[in-house]
Amino acid sequence: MAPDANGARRLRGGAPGRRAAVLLGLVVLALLALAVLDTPASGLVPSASGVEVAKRFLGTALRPALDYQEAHPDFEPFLWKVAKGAWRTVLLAAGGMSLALVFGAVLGVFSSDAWWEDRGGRGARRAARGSVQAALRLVIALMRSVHELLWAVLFLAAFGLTPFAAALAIAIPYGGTLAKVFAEMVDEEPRAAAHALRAMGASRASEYVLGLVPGAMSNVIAYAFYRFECSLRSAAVMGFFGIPTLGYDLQLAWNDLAYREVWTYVYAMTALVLLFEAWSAGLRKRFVA
Amino acid sequence: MTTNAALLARSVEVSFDGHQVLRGVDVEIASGELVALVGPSGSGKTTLLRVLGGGLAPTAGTVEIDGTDPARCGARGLRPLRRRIGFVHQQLGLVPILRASHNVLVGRIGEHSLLGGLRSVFLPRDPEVLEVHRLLERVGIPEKLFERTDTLSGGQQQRVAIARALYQRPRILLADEPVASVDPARARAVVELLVELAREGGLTLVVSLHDLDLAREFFPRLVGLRDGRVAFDRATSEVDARSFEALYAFAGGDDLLRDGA
Repeated sequence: MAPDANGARRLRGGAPGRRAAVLLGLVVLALLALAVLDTPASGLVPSASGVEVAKRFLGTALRPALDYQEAHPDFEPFLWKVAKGAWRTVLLAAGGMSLALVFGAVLGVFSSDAWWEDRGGRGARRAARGSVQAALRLVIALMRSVHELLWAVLFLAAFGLTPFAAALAIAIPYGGTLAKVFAEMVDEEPRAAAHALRAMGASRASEYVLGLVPGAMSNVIAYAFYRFECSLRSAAVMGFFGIPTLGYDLQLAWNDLAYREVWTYVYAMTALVLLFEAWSAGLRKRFVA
Repeated sequence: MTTNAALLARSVEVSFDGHQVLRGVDVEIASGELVALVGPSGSGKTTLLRVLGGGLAPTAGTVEIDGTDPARCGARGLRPLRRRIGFVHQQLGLVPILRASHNVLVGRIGEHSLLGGLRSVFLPRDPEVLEVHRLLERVGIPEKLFERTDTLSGGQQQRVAIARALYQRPRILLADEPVASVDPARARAVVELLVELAREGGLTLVVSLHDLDLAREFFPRLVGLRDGRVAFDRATSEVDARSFEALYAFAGGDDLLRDGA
Protein backbone atom coordinates (compact mmCIF):
# COMPACT_ATOMS: atom_id res chain seq x y z
CA MET A 1 0.00 0.00 0.00
CA ALA A 2 1.46 3.36 -1.00
CA PRO A 3 1.72 5.78 1.89
CA ASP A 4 -0.64 8.65 1.23
CA ALA A 5 -0.56 12.07 2.85
CA ASN A 6 -3.25 11.15 5.37
CA GLY A 7 -1.44 8.04 6.52
CA ALA A 8 1.81 9.90 6.89
CA ARG A 9 0.11 12.57 8.96
CA ARG A 10 -1.47 9.96 11.21
CA LEU A 11 1.94 8.40 11.75
CA ARG A 12 3.34 11.73 12.88
CA GLY A 13 0.41 12.12 15.24
CA GLY A 14 -1.80 14.95 14.06
CA ALA A 15 -1.50 17.90 11.72
CA PRO A 16 1.83 19.73 11.97
CA GLY A 17 0.05 23.12 12.05
CA ARG A 18 -1.94 22.11 15.09
CA ARG A 19 1.08 21.02 17.06
CA ALA A 20 2.81 24.31 16.39
CA ALA A 21 -0.34 26.15 17.49
CA VAL A 22 -0.50 24.19 20.76
CA LEU A 23 3.17 24.87 21.43
CA LEU A 24 2.75 28.57 20.72
CA GLY A 25 -0.31 28.68 22.99
CA LEU A 26 1.64 27.14 25.87
CA VAL A 27 4.49 29.63 25.46
CA VAL A 28 2.04 32.56 25.43
CA LEU A 29 0.33 31.16 28.53
CA ALA A 30 3.66 30.87 30.35
CA LEU A 31 4.64 34.46 29.46
CA LEU A 32 1.23 35.73 30.56
CA ALA A 33 1.53 33.89 33.85
CA LEU A 34 4.94 35.34 34.53
CA ALA A 35 3.69 38.85 33.73
CA VAL A 36 0.60 38.57 35.92
CA LEU A 37 2.52 36.98 38.79
CA ASP A 38 5.01 39.86 38.68
CA THR A 39 8.11 37.77 38.16
CA PRO A 40 10.89 38.12 39.01
CA ALA A 41 9.06 39.25 42.09
CA SER A 42 10.53 42.07 44.04
CA GLY A 43 8.58 40.48 46.93
CA LEU A 44 10.90 37.50 46.92
CA VAL A 45 13.69 39.70 48.24
CA PRO A 46 13.12 39.19 51.98
CA SER A 47 12.87 41.97 54.48
CA ALA A 48 15.43 42.18 57.24
CA SER A 49 13.05 40.68 59.79
CA GLY A 50 12.16 37.92 57.36
CA VAL A 51 15.81 37.01 57.00
CA GLU A 52 16.08 36.96 60.77
CA VAL A 53 13.12 34.56 61.18
CA ALA A 54 14.42 32.30 58.43
CA LYS A 55 17.87 32.22 60.02
CA ARG A 56 16.53 31.37 63.44
CA PHE A 57 14.19 28.70 62.08
CA LEU A 58 16.79 27.05 59.86
CA GLY A 59 19.41 27.36 62.60
CA THR A 60 17.42 25.02 64.81
CA ALA A 61 16.94 22.37 62.12
CA LEU A 62 19.46 20.00 63.68
CA ARG A 63 18.26 20.60 67.22
CA PRO A 64 14.63 19.46 67.31
CA ALA A 65 12.99 19.83 70.69
CA LEU A 66 12.67 16.83 72.96
CA ASP A 67 10.73 18.83 75.55
CA TYR A 68 8.74 22.07 75.56
CA GLN A 69 11.00 24.99 74.86
CA GLU A 70 9.31 26.80 77.68
CA ALA A 71 8.43 24.47 80.50
CA HIS A 72 4.70 24.02 81.20
CA PRO A 73 4.30 22.03 84.40
CA ASP A 74 0.62 21.18 83.76
CA PHE A 75 1.09 19.98 80.18
CA GLU A 76 1.42 16.36 79.14
CA PRO A 77 5.00 15.34 78.28
CA PHE A 78 6.08 16.85 74.96
CA LEU A 79 7.05 13.61 73.21
CA TRP A 80 3.77 12.05 74.29
CA LYS A 81 2.03 14.97 72.62
CA VAL A 82 4.03 14.43 69.42
CA ALA A 83 3.18 10.73 69.45
CA LYS A 84 -0.50 11.53 69.96
CA GLY A 85 -0.43 14.02 67.09
CA ALA A 86 1.18 11.41 64.84
CA TRP A 87 -1.36 8.80 65.89
CA ARG A 88 -4.25 11.14 65.15
CA THR A 89 -2.74 11.97 61.77
CA VAL A 90 -2.59 8.26 60.97
CA LEU A 91 -6.18 7.80 62.16
CA LEU A 92 -7.51 10.63 60.02
CA ALA A 93 -5.55 9.41 57.00
CA ALA A 94 -6.80 5.86 57.54
CA GLY A 95 -10.39 7.02 57.98
CA GLY A 96 -10.28 9.12 54.84
CA MET A 97 -8.55 6.39 52.91
CA SER A 98 -11.00 3.67 54.01
CA LEU A 99 -13.91 5.69 52.74
CA ALA A 100 -11.97 6.57 49.59
CA LEU A 101 -11.28 2.88 48.92
CA VAL A 102 -14.98 2.08 49.13
CA PHE A 103 -15.86 4.98 46.79
CA GLY A 104 -12.98 4.06 44.49
CA ALA A 105 -13.81 0.36 44.30
CA VAL A 106 -17.54 0.83 43.67
CA LEU A 107 -17.22 3.73 41.24
CA GLY A 108 -14.16 2.14 39.64
CA VAL A 109 -16.00 -1.07 38.76
CA PHE A 110 -19.11 0.62 37.42
CA SER A 111 -17.27 3.28 35.44
CA SER A 112 -14.87 0.84 33.76
CA ASP A 113 -15.35 -0.17 30.14
CA ALA A 114 -14.76 -3.79 31.13
CA TRP A 115 -17.97 -3.83 33.18
CA TRP A 116 -20.15 -2.55 30.35
CA GLU A 117 -18.61 -4.05 27.22
CA ASP A 118 -20.07 -7.01 25.24
CA ARG A 119 -23.49 -6.80 26.82
CA GLY A 120 -25.34 -6.88 23.53
CA GLY A 121 -28.97 -5.82 23.58
CA ARG A 122 -30.82 -3.30 21.48
CA GLY A 123 -30.16 0.37 20.87
CA ALA A 124 -32.22 1.74 23.75
CA ARG A 125 -30.66 -0.48 26.42
CA ARG A 126 -27.24 0.17 25.00
CA ALA A 127 -27.82 3.92 25.18
CA ALA A 128 -29.11 3.63 28.75
CA ARG A 129 -25.98 1.74 29.81
CA GLY A 130 -23.80 4.27 28.03
CA SER A 131 -25.43 7.14 29.88
CA VAL A 132 -25.07 5.43 33.27
CA GLN A 133 -21.36 5.00 32.63
CA ALA A 134 -20.99 8.59 31.40
CA ALA A 135 -22.85 9.90 34.46
CA LEU A 136 -20.57 7.93 36.80
CA ARG A 137 -17.51 9.28 35.02
CA LEU A 138 -18.86 12.81 35.44
CA VAL A 139 -19.38 12.22 39.18
CA ILE A 140 -15.82 10.93 39.43
CA ALA A 141 -14.49 13.97 37.57
CA LEU A 142 -16.40 16.29 39.94
CA MET A 143 -15.01 14.48 42.99
CA ARG A 144 -11.47 14.73 41.66
CA SER A 145 -11.54 18.28 40.43
CA VAL A 146 -12.09 19.84 43.87
CA HIS A 147 -9.07 19.67 46.17
CA GLU A 148 -9.47 18.13 49.64
CA LEU A 149 -8.73 21.48 51.28
CA LEU A 150 -11.65 23.08 49.41
CA TRP A 151 -13.92 20.20 50.41
CA ALA A 152 -12.69 20.75 53.97
CA VAL A 153 -13.64 24.43 53.82
CA LEU A 154 -17.11 23.43 52.56
CA PHE A 155 -17.70 20.67 55.12
CA LEU A 156 -16.35 22.64 58.05
CA ALA A 157 -18.76 25.41 57.15
CA ALA A 158 -21.62 22.93 56.83
CA PHE A 159 -20.99 20.43 59.63
CA GLY A 160 -18.56 22.25 61.87
CA LEU A 161 -15.21 21.07 63.04
CA THR A 162 -15.61 17.28 63.23
CA PRO A 163 -12.97 14.71 62.38
CA PHE A 164 -15.52 12.93 60.20
CA ALA A 165 -15.96 16.04 58.07
CA ALA A 166 -12.19 16.11 57.60
CA ALA A 167 -12.11 12.41 56.70
CA LEU A 168 -14.90 12.95 54.18
CA ALA A 169 -13.03 15.92 52.71
CA ILE A 170 -10.07 13.62 52.08
CA ALA A 171 -12.23 10.70 50.94
CA ILE A 172 -14.05 12.50 48.13
CA PRO A 173 -11.16 13.62 45.90
CA TYR A 174 -9.14 10.55 46.83
CA GLY A 175 -12.09 8.28 46.08
CA GLY A 176 -12.54 9.93 42.68
CA THR A 177 -8.87 9.54 41.83
CA LEU A 178 -8.83 5.92 42.98
CA ALA A 179 -11.97 5.18 40.94
CA LYS A 180 -10.44 6.62 37.80
CA VAL A 181 -7.12 4.84 38.22
CA PHE A 182 -8.69 1.51 39.28
CA ALA A 183 -10.97 1.56 36.23
CA GLU A 184 -8.04 2.31 33.93
CA MET A 185 -5.96 -0.48 35.44
CA VAL A 186 -8.73 -3.06 35.04
CA ASP A 187 -9.48 -1.87 31.50
CA GLU A 188 -5.82 -2.42 30.62
CA GLU A 189 -6.02 -6.09 31.58
CA PRO A 190 -6.09 -8.67 28.78
CA ARG A 191 -9.57 -10.16 28.41
CA ALA A 192 -8.63 -13.79 27.66
CA ALA A 193 -9.25 -15.10 31.19
CA ALA A 194 -12.50 -13.16 31.61
CA HIS A 195 -13.82 -14.44 28.30
CA ALA A 196 -12.89 -18.00 29.25
CA LEU A 197 -14.82 -17.61 32.50
CA ARG A 198 -17.82 -16.25 30.61
CA ALA A 199 -17.69 -19.25 28.27
CA MET A 200 -17.96 -21.59 31.25
CA GLY A 201 -21.11 -19.88 32.49
CA ALA A 202 -19.71 -17.40 35.02
CA SER A 203 -21.91 -14.49 36.05
CA ARG A 204 -20.84 -11.07 34.93
CA ALA A 205 -19.68 -10.18 38.45
CA SER A 206 -17.67 -13.40 38.83
CA GLU A 207 -16.12 -12.88 35.43
CA TYR A 208 -15.00 -9.40 36.45
CA VAL A 209 -13.77 -10.21 39.94
CA LEU A 210 -11.99 -13.47 39.12
CA GLY A 211 -11.02 -12.88 35.50
CA LEU A 212 -9.85 -9.26 35.51
CA VAL A 213 -9.23 -8.04 39.06
CA PRO A 214 -6.48 -10.53 40.04
CA GLY A 215 -4.26 -9.37 37.19
CA ALA A 216 -4.75 -5.71 38.09
CA MET A 217 -4.42 -6.31 41.83
CA SER A 218 -0.69 -5.70 42.27
CA ASN A 219 -0.94 -2.35 40.48
CA VAL A 220 -4.10 -1.43 42.37
CA ILE A 221 -2.48 -2.20 45.71
CA ALA A 222 0.70 -0.31 44.86
CA TYR A 223 -1.33 2.73 43.84
CA ALA A 224 -3.58 2.54 46.90
CA PHE A 225 -0.47 2.54 49.11
CA TYR A 226 0.89 5.56 47.31
CA ARG A 227 -2.40 7.36 47.90
CA PHE A 228 -2.30 6.39 51.57
CA GLU A 229 1.04 8.12 51.80
CA CYS A 230 -0.51 11.22 50.19
CA SER A 231 -3.42 11.04 52.60
CA LEU A 232 -0.98 11.17 55.54
CA ARG A 233 0.18 14.55 54.25
CA SER A 234 -3.38 15.71 53.60
CA ALA A 235 -4.42 14.63 57.09
CA ALA A 236 -1.56 16.61 58.60
CA VAL A 237 -2.58 19.71 56.63
CA MET A 238 -6.15 19.34 57.94
CA GLY A 239 -4.58 20.51 61.21
CA PHE A 240 -4.57 24.03 59.80
CA PHE A 241 -8.37 23.92 60.05
CA GLY A 242 -8.14 22.91 63.70
CA ILE A 243 -8.39 19.14 63.37
CA PRO A 244 -5.95 17.82 65.99
CA THR A 245 -3.20 16.31 63.84
CA LEU A 246 0.52 17.00 63.51
CA GLY A 247 -0.33 20.00 61.35
CA TYR A 248 -2.34 21.54 64.18
CA ASP A 249 0.48 21.11 66.67
CA LEU A 250 2.97 22.42 64.15
CA GLN A 251 0.93 25.53 63.51
CA LEU A 252 0.58 26.31 67.23
CA ALA A 253 4.29 25.78 67.81
CA TRP A 254 5.06 28.11 64.91
CA ASN A 255 2.78 30.79 66.32
CA ASP A 256 4.62 30.44 69.65
CA LEU A 257 7.90 30.93 67.75
CA ALA A 258 8.95 27.54 69.19
CA TYR A 259 11.00 26.62 66.11
CA ARG A 260 12.69 23.62 67.67
CA GLU A 261 9.27 22.16 68.44
CA VAL A 262 8.25 22.85 64.82
CA TRP A 263 11.20 20.80 63.66
CA THR A 264 10.18 17.93 65.93
CA TYR A 265 6.77 17.86 64.25
CA VAL A 266 8.34 18.06 60.80
CA TYR A 267 10.60 15.12 61.62
CA ALA A 268 7.70 13.18 63.11
CA MET A 269 5.82 13.65 59.84
CA THR A 270 8.87 12.53 57.86
CA ALA A 271 9.29 9.48 60.08
CA LEU A 272 5.63 8.62 59.58
CA VAL A 273 5.92 8.74 55.79
CA LEU A 274 9.19 6.78 55.79
CA LEU A 275 7.81 4.12 58.11
CA PHE A 276 4.78 3.76 55.93
CA GLU A 277 6.94 3.60 52.83
CA ALA A 278 9.06 0.80 54.30
CA TRP A 279 5.98 -1.18 55.30
CA SER A 280 4.25 -0.79 51.93
CA ALA A 281 7.42 -1.64 50.01
CA GLY A 282 7.59 -4.91 51.94
CA LEU A 283 3.95 -5.68 51.19
CA ARG A 284 4.28 -4.76 47.54
CA LYS A 285 7.27 -7.04 47.12
CA ARG A 286 5.19 -9.93 48.40
CA PHE A 287 2.43 -9.21 45.93
CA VAL A 288 4.55 -8.62 42.86
CA ALA A 289 7.10 -11.41 43.33
CA MET B 1 -36.43 -30.51 17.86
CA THR B 2 -35.69 -33.90 16.40
CA THR B 3 -32.28 -35.24 17.09
CA ASN B 4 -30.37 -36.56 20.05
CA ALA B 5 -27.27 -34.81 18.74
CA ALA B 6 -24.98 -33.23 21.29
CA LEU B 7 -24.10 -30.50 18.84
CA LEU B 8 -25.97 -29.43 15.77
CA ALA B 9 -25.33 -26.63 13.29
CA ARG B 10 -27.81 -25.92 10.52
CA SER B 11 -26.91 -23.61 7.61
CA VAL B 12 -24.76 -21.58 9.96
CA GLU B 13 -23.36 -18.37 8.56
CA VAL B 14 -21.12 -15.94 10.41
CA SER B 15 -19.89 -12.56 9.22
CA PHE B 16 -17.52 -10.16 10.92
CA ASP B 17 -17.69 -6.61 9.59
CA GLY B 18 -19.16 -7.74 6.32
CA HIS B 19 -16.55 -10.44 5.80
CA GLN B 20 -18.16 -13.85 5.71
CA VAL B 21 -16.27 -16.46 7.74
CA LEU B 22 -18.78 -19.31 7.71
CA ARG B 23 -20.93 -19.78 4.61
CA GLY B 24 -23.65 -22.26 5.38
CA VAL B 25 -22.21 -24.96 7.61
CA ASP B 26 -24.19 -28.09 8.51
CA VAL B 27 -22.70 -30.37 11.14
CA GLU B 28 -24.26 -32.89 13.47
CA ILE B 29 -22.23 -34.46 16.25
CA ALA B 30 -23.67 -37.27 18.34
CA SER B 31 -23.21 -37.53 22.07
CA GLY B 32 -19.86 -39.15 22.93
CA GLU B 33 -18.43 -38.69 19.46
CA LEU B 34 -14.80 -37.67 18.88
CA VAL B 35 -14.44 -35.25 15.98
CA ALA B 36 -11.53 -33.25 14.62
CA LEU B 37 -12.10 -30.08 12.61
CA VAL B 38 -9.34 -29.76 10.04
CA GLY B 39 -8.50 -27.17 7.45
CA PRO B 40 -6.09 -24.35 6.68
CA SER B 41 -5.92 -21.39 9.01
CA GLY B 42 -8.63 -18.90 8.16
CA SER B 43 -10.99 -21.64 7.05
CA GLY B 44 -13.34 -20.96 9.96
CA LYS B 45 -12.45 -23.71 12.45
CA THR B 46 -12.21 -21.43 15.48
CA THR B 47 -15.38 -19.59 14.52
CA LEU B 48 -17.29 -22.84 14.11
CA LEU B 49 -16.09 -24.04 17.52
CA ARG B 50 -17.20 -20.80 19.14
CA VAL B 51 -20.60 -21.07 17.48
CA LEU B 52 -20.98 -24.70 18.57
CA GLY B 53 -20.00 -23.73 22.12
CA GLY B 54 -22.66 -21.03 22.29
CA GLY B 55 -20.04 -18.32 22.68
CA LEU B 56 -20.84 -16.67 19.38
CA ALA B 57 -24.29 -16.21 17.86
CA PRO B 58 -24.39 -17.08 14.15
CA THR B 59 -25.41 -14.34 11.72
CA ALA B 60 -27.81 -16.80 10.10
CA GLY B 61 -28.78 -20.42 10.69
CA THR B 62 -29.34 -22.25 13.96
CA VAL B 63 -27.29 -24.08 16.56
CA GLU B 64 -28.43 -26.62 19.08
CA ILE B 65 -26.52 -27.78 22.12
CA ASP B 66 -28.12 -30.90 23.61
CA GLY B 67 -31.28 -29.90 21.76
CA THR B 68 -31.30 -26.30 23.06
CA ASP B 69 -30.83 -23.29 20.82
CA PRO B 70 -28.57 -20.84 22.70
CA ALA B 71 -30.06 -17.94 20.73
CA ARG B 72 -33.41 -18.59 22.41
CA CYS B 73 -32.12 -18.91 25.98
CA GLY B 74 -31.63 -15.28 26.85
CA ALA B 75 -28.72 -14.18 28.97
CA ARG B 76 -29.95 -16.12 32.02
CA GLY B 77 -30.57 -19.41 30.25
CA LEU B 78 -27.22 -19.20 28.52
CA ARG B 79 -25.23 -19.70 31.74
CA PRO B 80 -26.48 -23.23 32.55
CA LEU B 81 -26.01 -24.17 28.92
CA ARG B 82 -22.43 -22.89 28.92
CA ARG B 83 -21.68 -24.86 32.09
CA ARG B 84 -22.16 -28.05 30.11
CA ILE B 85 -19.42 -27.11 27.67
CA GLY B 86 -15.76 -27.18 28.58
CA PHE B 87 -13.71 -25.04 26.24
CA VAL B 88 -9.92 -25.18 26.02
CA HIS B 89 -9.08 -21.89 24.33
CA GLN B 90 -6.08 -21.37 22.17
CA GLN B 91 -4.93 -18.55 24.47
CA LEU B 92 -5.90 -20.76 27.44
CA GLY B 93 -7.49 -17.88 29.35
CA LEU B 94 -5.90 -18.70 32.68
CA VAL B 95 -5.49 -16.07 35.38
CA PRO B 96 -1.68 -15.71 35.41
CA ILE B 97 -1.09 -14.57 38.98
CA LEU B 98 -3.26 -17.22 40.61
CA ARG B 99 -1.98 -20.64 41.62
CA ALA B 100 -2.60 -23.62 39.37
CA SER B 101 -5.05 -24.97 41.97
CA HIS B 102 -7.03 -21.70 41.92
CA ASN B 103 -7.23 -21.75 38.16
CA VAL B 104 -8.63 -25.28 38.20
CA LEU B 105 -11.12 -24.37 40.94
CA VAL B 106 -12.34 -21.52 38.75
CA GLY B 107 -13.78 -24.25 36.50
CA ARG B 108 -16.98 -24.41 38.54
CA ILE B 109 -17.46 -20.67 38.72
CA GLY B 110 -20.57 -21.00 36.58
CA GLU B 111 -22.34 -22.89 39.37
CA HIS B 112 -21.86 -20.13 41.92
CA SER B 113 -22.82 -16.58 42.72
CA LEU B 114 -19.98 -14.09 43.09
CA LEU B 115 -19.47 -14.73 46.82
CA GLY B 116 -19.96 -18.48 46.48
CA GLY B 117 -17.48 -18.44 43.64
CA LEU B 118 -14.88 -16.55 45.66
CA ARG B 119 -15.39 -19.02 48.51
CA SER B 120 -15.03 -22.01 46.21
CA VAL B 121 -11.82 -20.69 44.67
CA PHE B 122 -10.03 -19.24 47.68
CA LEU B 123 -11.47 -21.38 50.51
CA PRO B 124 -12.08 -24.71 48.79
CA ARG B 125 -13.46 -27.56 50.85
CA ASP B 126 -11.45 -30.76 51.27
CA PRO B 127 -13.29 -32.78 48.60
CA GLU B 128 -12.80 -29.92 46.14
CA VAL B 129 -9.07 -29.78 46.86
CA LEU B 130 -8.80 -33.54 46.47
CA GLU B 131 -10.57 -33.43 43.16
CA VAL B 132 -8.30 -30.67 41.87
CA HIS B 133 -5.29 -32.64 42.98
CA ARG B 134 -6.59 -35.75 41.27
CA LEU B 135 -7.21 -33.84 38.04
CA LEU B 136 -3.77 -32.26 37.98
CA GLU B 137 -2.37 -35.72 38.58
CA ARG B 138 -4.44 -37.04 35.69
CA VAL B 139 -3.13 -34.37 33.30
CA GLY B 140 0.40 -35.07 34.48
CA ILE B 141 1.40 -32.11 36.67
CA PRO B 142 0.43 -33.00 40.26
CA GLU B 143 3.51 -31.30 41.71
CA LYS B 144 2.43 -27.92 40.30
CA LEU B 145 -0.70 -27.68 42.45
CA PHE B 146 0.36 -24.65 44.48
CA GLU B 147 2.58 -22.92 41.95
CA ARG B 148 1.72 -19.63 40.39
CA THR B 149 0.33 -20.26 36.93
CA ASP B 150 2.57 -17.73 35.18
CA THR B 151 5.67 -19.58 36.42
CA LEU B 152 4.62 -22.73 34.54
CA SER B 153 5.76 -23.58 31.01
CA GLY B 154 3.35 -23.23 28.08
CA GLY B 155 2.73 -26.97 28.02
CA GLN B 156 2.07 -27.09 31.76
CA GLN B 157 -0.30 -24.14 31.54
CA GLN B 158 -2.18 -25.94 28.83
CA ARG B 159 -2.61 -28.91 31.16
CA VAL B 160 -3.95 -26.57 33.82
CA ALA B 161 -6.48 -25.28 31.27
CA ILE B 162 -7.50 -28.84 30.42
CA ALA B 163 -7.84 -29.71 34.12
CA ARG B 164 -9.99 -26.59 34.59
CA ALA B 165 -12.26 -27.63 31.73
CA LEU B 166 -12.66 -31.09 33.28
CA TYR B 167 -13.28 -29.72 36.78
CA GLN B 168 -16.23 -27.93 35.23
CA ARG B 169 -17.82 -31.42 34.79
CA PRO B 170 -18.88 -30.71 31.19
CA ARG B 171 -20.75 -33.05 28.88
CA ILE B 172 -19.06 -31.59 25.84
CA LEU B 173 -15.39 -30.68 25.50
CA LEU B 174 -14.23 -28.29 22.79
CA ALA B 175 -10.57 -27.50 22.18
CA ASP B 176 -9.29 -24.85 19.80
CA GLU B 177 -5.89 -25.74 18.31
CA PRO B 178 -4.67 -27.30 21.56
CA VAL B 179 -1.26 -28.02 20.05
CA ALA B 180 -0.62 -24.59 18.56
CA SER B 181 1.63 -23.52 21.43
CA VAL B 182 3.49 -26.74 22.23
CA ASP B 183 6.34 -28.45 20.42
CA PRO B 184 5.56 -31.41 18.14
CA ALA B 185 6.72 -34.03 20.65
CA ARG B 186 4.29 -32.70 23.25
CA ALA B 187 1.52 -32.09 20.74
CA ARG B 188 0.90 -35.77 20.33
CA ALA B 189 0.73 -36.28 24.10
CA VAL B 190 -1.77 -33.44 24.49
CA VAL B 191 -4.12 -34.74 21.81
CA GLU B 192 -3.81 -38.24 23.19
CA LEU B 193 -4.66 -36.94 26.66
CA LEU B 194 -7.75 -35.10 25.41
CA VAL B 195 -9.01 -38.17 23.60
CA GLU B 196 -8.38 -40.42 26.61
CA LEU B 197 -10.12 -38.02 28.95
CA ALA B 198 -13.11 -37.76 26.64
CA ARG B 199 -13.34 -41.54 26.40
CA GLU B 200 -13.05 -41.97 30.18
CA GLY B 201 -15.80 -39.47 30.86
CA GLY B 202 -17.99 -40.33 27.91
CA LEU B 203 -17.68 -36.73 26.72
CA THR B 204 -18.37 -35.41 23.28
CA LEU B 205 -15.06 -34.03 22.01
CA VAL B 206 -14.54 -31.61 19.15
CA VAL B 207 -11.01 -30.41 18.49
CA SER B 208 -9.75 -28.07 15.80
CA LEU B 209 -6.38 -29.17 14.48
CA HIS B 210 -4.28 -28.16 11.57
CA ASP B 211 -1.99 -31.14 12.12
CA LEU B 212 -3.55 -33.72 9.80
CA ASP B 213 -1.47 -36.63 11.04
CA LEU B 214 -2.63 -36.14 14.61
CA ALA B 215 -6.22 -35.74 13.49
CA ARG B 216 -6.05 -38.97 11.49
CA GLU B 217 -4.33 -40.89 14.24
CA PHE B 218 -6.70 -40.08 17.08
CA PHE B 219 -10.09 -39.14 15.67
CA PRO B 220 -12.56 -41.54 14.04
CA ARG B 221 -14.33 -38.69 12.24
CA LEU B 222 -12.96 -35.67 10.42
CA VAL B 223 -14.74 -32.52 9.31
CA GLY B 224 -12.76 -30.61 6.70
CA LEU B 225 -13.38 -26.87 6.45
CA ARG B 226 -12.28 -24.70 3.61
CA ASP B 227 -13.16 -21.07 3.09
CA GLY B 228 -16.07 -21.25 5.51
CA ARG B 229 -17.68 -24.34 4.00
CA VAL B 230 -17.63 -28.01 4.90
CA ALA B 231 -15.36 -29.63 2.31
CA PHE B 232 -15.87 -33.14 3.66
CA ASP B 233 -17.39 -34.79 6.74
CA ARG B 234 -16.55 -38.47 6.90
CA ALA B 235 -15.15 -41.32 8.91
CA THR B 236 -11.39 -40.91 8.96
CA SER B 237 -10.85 -44.19 7.11
CA GLU B 238 -12.88 -42.85 4.20
CA VAL B 239 -10.98 -39.60 3.79
CA ASP B 240 -8.40 -40.08 1.05
CA ALA B 241 -5.25 -38.16 0.26
CA ARG B 242 -6.97 -36.28 -2.59
CA SER B 243 -9.46 -34.73 -0.17
CA PHE B 244 -6.65 -33.45 2.00
CA GLU B 245 -4.83 -32.03 -0.98
CA ALA B 246 -7.94 -30.24 -2.12
CA LEU B 247 -8.45 -28.92 1.41
CA TYR B 248 -5.06 -27.26 1.51
CA ALA B 249 -4.69 -26.37 -2.18
CA PHE B 250 -3.63 -22.81 -2.81
CA ALA B 251 -6.70 -20.84 -3.72
CA GLY B 252 -5.14 -17.53 -4.70
CA GLY B 253 -3.94 -14.34 -3.04
CA ASP B 254 -7.43 -13.33 -2.01
CA ASP B 255 -7.58 -16.08 0.59
CA LEU B 256 -4.24 -15.23 2.05
CA LEU B 257 -5.25 -11.63 2.65
CA ARG B 258 -8.34 -12.68 4.50
CA ASP B 259 -6.52 -15.17 6.65
CA GLY B 260 -6.72 -15.23 10.38
CA ALA B 261 -10.47 -15.12 10.82
